[in-house]
Amino acid sequence: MALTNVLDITGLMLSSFGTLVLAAVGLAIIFGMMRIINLAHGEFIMIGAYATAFSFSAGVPLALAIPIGGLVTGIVGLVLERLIIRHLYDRLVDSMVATWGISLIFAQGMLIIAGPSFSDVPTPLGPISYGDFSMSLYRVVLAASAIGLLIALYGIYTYTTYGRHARATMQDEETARSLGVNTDRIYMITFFIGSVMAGIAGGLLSPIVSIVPTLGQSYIIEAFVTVIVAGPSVILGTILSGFSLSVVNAPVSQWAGSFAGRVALLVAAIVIIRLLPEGISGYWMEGGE
Amino acid sequence: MNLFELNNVTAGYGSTPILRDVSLAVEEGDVVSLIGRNGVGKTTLMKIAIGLLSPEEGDVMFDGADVTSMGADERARAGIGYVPQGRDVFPRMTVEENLQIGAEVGGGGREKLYDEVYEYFPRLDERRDQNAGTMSGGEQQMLAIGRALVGNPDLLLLDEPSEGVQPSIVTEISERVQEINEEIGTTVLFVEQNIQFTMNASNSCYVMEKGRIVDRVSPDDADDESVIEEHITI
Ligand SMILES: Nc1ncnc2c1ncn2[C@@H]1O[C@H](COP(=O)(O)OP(=O)(O)OP(=O)(O)O)[C@@H](O)[C@H]1O
Ligand SMILES: [Mg+2]
Repeated sequence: MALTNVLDITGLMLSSFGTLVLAAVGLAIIFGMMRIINLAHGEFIMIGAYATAFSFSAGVPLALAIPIGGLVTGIVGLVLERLIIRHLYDRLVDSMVATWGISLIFAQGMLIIAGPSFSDVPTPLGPISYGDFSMSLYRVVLAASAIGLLIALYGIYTYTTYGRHARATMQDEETARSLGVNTDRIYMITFFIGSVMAGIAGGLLSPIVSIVPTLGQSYIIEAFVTVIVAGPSVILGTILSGFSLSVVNAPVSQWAGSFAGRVALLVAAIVIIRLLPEGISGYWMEGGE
Repeated sequence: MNLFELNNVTAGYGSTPILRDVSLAVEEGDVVSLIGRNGVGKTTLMKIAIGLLSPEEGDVMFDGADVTSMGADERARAGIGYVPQGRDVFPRMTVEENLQIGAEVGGGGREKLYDEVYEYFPRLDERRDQNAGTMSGGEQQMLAIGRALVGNPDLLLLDEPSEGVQPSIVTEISERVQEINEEIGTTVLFVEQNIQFTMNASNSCYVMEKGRIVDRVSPDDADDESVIEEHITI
């Protein structure tokens, strides 16, 4: 009995951690590196989920349909960045209004194009069970993919020329530009990568949600909370934040239901921000300006 | 031949004019300084030179071409290395990573000068993996100069390299600037308020007052030290 409980909570923690990190990662990149608050982030996840579900229903294996979802969302993000977002850098409020408008258009547009719902993607891999305990193995995949994506991002931002230029641009845009960095291009690529991450998240989450045009709304609050708790370091911060929040969310969801779990998550976020106003990773950062 | 020129430049921020009808020329291979009291517009002139600010009137010439409409990143890739006032190293990147950013200067076609930078500034060599934000003011200044130099620019722009740097390091930096000019052949334009630095390092010195160039003197003439002193001290 006790062991089953522990296992149940562990299973919930894995999916809670995976979901929080996946929902947050694209937002964290776009906000952390570009200071753009992308209120259409949930709809980017939604587009990734639809593109994945669509590819899957057309016979593409899920493992391939998910990166397709990422790519499609990345292209949508790229077009938006060139047409709209790039005119709104350094205009926080304008960019929020614009991305909010985009989110409405995307949700309504998807309703018109694809109807109120799309055929669900079945959860792959089946359950793992132990006595009374049983959970979907896919939860482990979600958590592992979340960590895998963060490791991939760590590699990109540490070892590639683009990554170095992006960090320099984030730390001091004017100086980066005056040293030959094409900051306009850096912003474009960064927005693209953030969009791809949101799309992959949507693809990975597609087997565990109903594919409806409003699905983005169920992730946007958790995504923002995770990013705020994470603080200035995109990668380390997102891992620590996802972990801390899921540690609170999982047991409360287990004992008092998922609504109480969400409330507990928000309360935990408020407490963390009270104690560490710079977010969890703000505490770790060194070598300030 | 003039490597760099400002011709009748008028510029400012918004509606307040800061520079009025400024003309200045830097001959290839020369080391030229610009002096003036606080707030006269020296940094504004340097921003016009690199392209972080556009002139309202007048033009900017580099290497025989009109670069007035080129952005700062394009000018950097065309061969201008810029060291901003206050250094502005990337604080959460290592010394080596800071230099790698500077490698964009001069574009892809030229040989990069990592070895030379580490030879001129051995302190950087010792601190390759240290975060730039944790270094002393003098070390950061060396890094900012190295970062602008590593891409092998034709012109190096330095905005008050001695500011906030202890005196022994000021001497070291002024010697390095002269060596860079003599050994690599880099043309230099620097802003200073430090008389010794100006006297030691430059062959020619523009004097700025309230947004205008009011004099051009040669620090080699002994008489001019007093002129320079008069223009810097209040
Ligand atoms: N971004 C800005 N917006 C508005 N005014 C500015 C800006 N930057 C500088 N100024 C003003 O322009 C004038 C010239 O400034 P600038 O920085 O060019 O002077 P400076 O000669 O470099 O001074 P210092 O020796 O203190 O560095 C000052 O009056 C300053 O207040
Ligand atoms: Mg200045």
